[in-house]
Amino acid sequence: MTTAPFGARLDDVVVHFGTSYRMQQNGIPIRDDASTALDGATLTIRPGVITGVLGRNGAGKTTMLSLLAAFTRPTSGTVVVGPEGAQEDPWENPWITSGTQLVRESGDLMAEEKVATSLKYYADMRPEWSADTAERLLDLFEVDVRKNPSALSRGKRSAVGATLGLAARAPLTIFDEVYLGMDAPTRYAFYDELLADYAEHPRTILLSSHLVEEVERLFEDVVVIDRGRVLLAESADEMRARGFSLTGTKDAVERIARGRRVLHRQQLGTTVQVTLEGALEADELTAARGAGVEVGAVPVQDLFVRLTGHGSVQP
Amino acid sequence: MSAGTTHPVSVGASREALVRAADRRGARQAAAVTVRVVSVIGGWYWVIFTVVAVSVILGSVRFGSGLDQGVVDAQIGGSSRWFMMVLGTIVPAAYLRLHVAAGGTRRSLVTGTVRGGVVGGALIGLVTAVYMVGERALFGALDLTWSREYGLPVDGYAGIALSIVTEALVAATYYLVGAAISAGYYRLGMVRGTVYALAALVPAALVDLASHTGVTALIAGLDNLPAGGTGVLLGLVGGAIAVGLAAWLFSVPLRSVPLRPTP
Repeated sequence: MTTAPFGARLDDVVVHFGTSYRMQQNGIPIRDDASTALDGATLTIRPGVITGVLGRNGAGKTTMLSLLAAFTRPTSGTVVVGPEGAQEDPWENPWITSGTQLVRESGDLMAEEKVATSLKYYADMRPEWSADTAERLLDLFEVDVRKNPSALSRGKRSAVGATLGLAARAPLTIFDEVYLGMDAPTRYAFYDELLADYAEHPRTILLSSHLVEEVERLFEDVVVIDRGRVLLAESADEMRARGFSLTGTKDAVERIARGRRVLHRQQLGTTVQVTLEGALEADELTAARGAGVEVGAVPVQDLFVRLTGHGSVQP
Repeated sequence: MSAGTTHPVSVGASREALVRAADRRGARQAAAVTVRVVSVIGGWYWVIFTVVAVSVILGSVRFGSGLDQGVVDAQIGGSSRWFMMVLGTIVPAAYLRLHVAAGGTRRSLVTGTVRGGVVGGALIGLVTAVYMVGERALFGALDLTWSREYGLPVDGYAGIALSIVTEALVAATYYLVGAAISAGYYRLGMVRGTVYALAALVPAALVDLASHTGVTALIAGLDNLPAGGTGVLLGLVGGAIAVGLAAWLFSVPLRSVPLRPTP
């Protein structure tokens, strides 16, 4: 790789889409209604790490990722992308766009042409394209490039998207829900290939996925977007330290949980499990264990679900 | 809000060299797509047109008194412009997402589309001229008088040779007019896009008048268009201006088109 990994920064970004019409590949125009996708998003993406981008449907993840790849631009606020110390507005900026690969779901392919034709387009456009990687991955995922994308299953189309993202070797590589349609063995093969290629060719990778439990082991940083705003952006370890769970008798658990924000509560008979925000002090931990309460870590997925659940539960 | 601390890294290659290389790659790919599509669709169009035209000519001799005007000329000087306009409406818009996803800019798509449109137009012009030579020879073999009503005011083979240039300008202009109409709707929406489409048709009217072909020339009346050397000169200059105007009208809306996430 000749270009250093790209980082990015969003500052108070608002994206409002007006009603628009776009031409489909069959020549028929389609109407998109007006909406506000991002509402004051502020964020820094570190270069050279794998960042997980989490958010519920319609939270604004895809719009944020589209900004970085110059698919769209903010209604207000600023977006800069590039190597540390040389970040620029990506809009119509070939220096940035040629180093940013956004793969949306199944990749942007020509629906009515062979997959091989679209792949050649990417190969000829991408300065760091690895033909060997593309060939190996297409073989691994058993994709027939002589077919049109519309003739492939959703999983195979996603595999083409995954191949595009890895073979492009872009300094900023973005996978936006690229796993859709992939079966479990293919998804795990993709995760393994992603890690191996990242280790061999370090770059910045953004990974948006709803399968948080599967991919959280890949994350070094995590960004959570909710209702168009950045809810949190920090290292995965910091996020994991944001909460803990208590499991025990109702009285003991509620005594320890008192005064803390309860993110989730479950009760089965006399046993209660709560997920709480924050961390226990050493003496609190000792007291909890003394009271027979089990203290556990909370997976990123659970924290994500609780944080974006819109309203905590009172004990 | 930050996803952690940052660490400085150096920019390896020269920024300007990378920008130039990226622009070149983008324009080359867009031009290649345009030429490929125009060649394939145009090739089939001319094969079918030739078969139909020869059938009409032979049929008119066999079952009637023959023709006194070339078949292309009977299409108000040529009908390639219409499929070029349709292609222009579809191809750049369809390739926009792929182009941007592959790291290209809208600017390089415009540059490549204009280049491809001009090269594709030149191919159409060449094929048109070859067809005219063949049609003229067929008329001669059938003892029919071949004449042209439309086109720049130059008779004989010189006029046919000149039609390579004029048809190239017509085809390129109409391709870019189609692209401008599509980009206008994409960027401006239904109402303002329709107004923009009317403006985008101006280069089409201009190249019609410049080349003495097409609906606008028919409406204006061929006798009212400049004749002789002045007509030829104005035709070539006017055609070039039409291509440039169509390219500009295509560029303005396309370069600010946002690619909205699809649901």
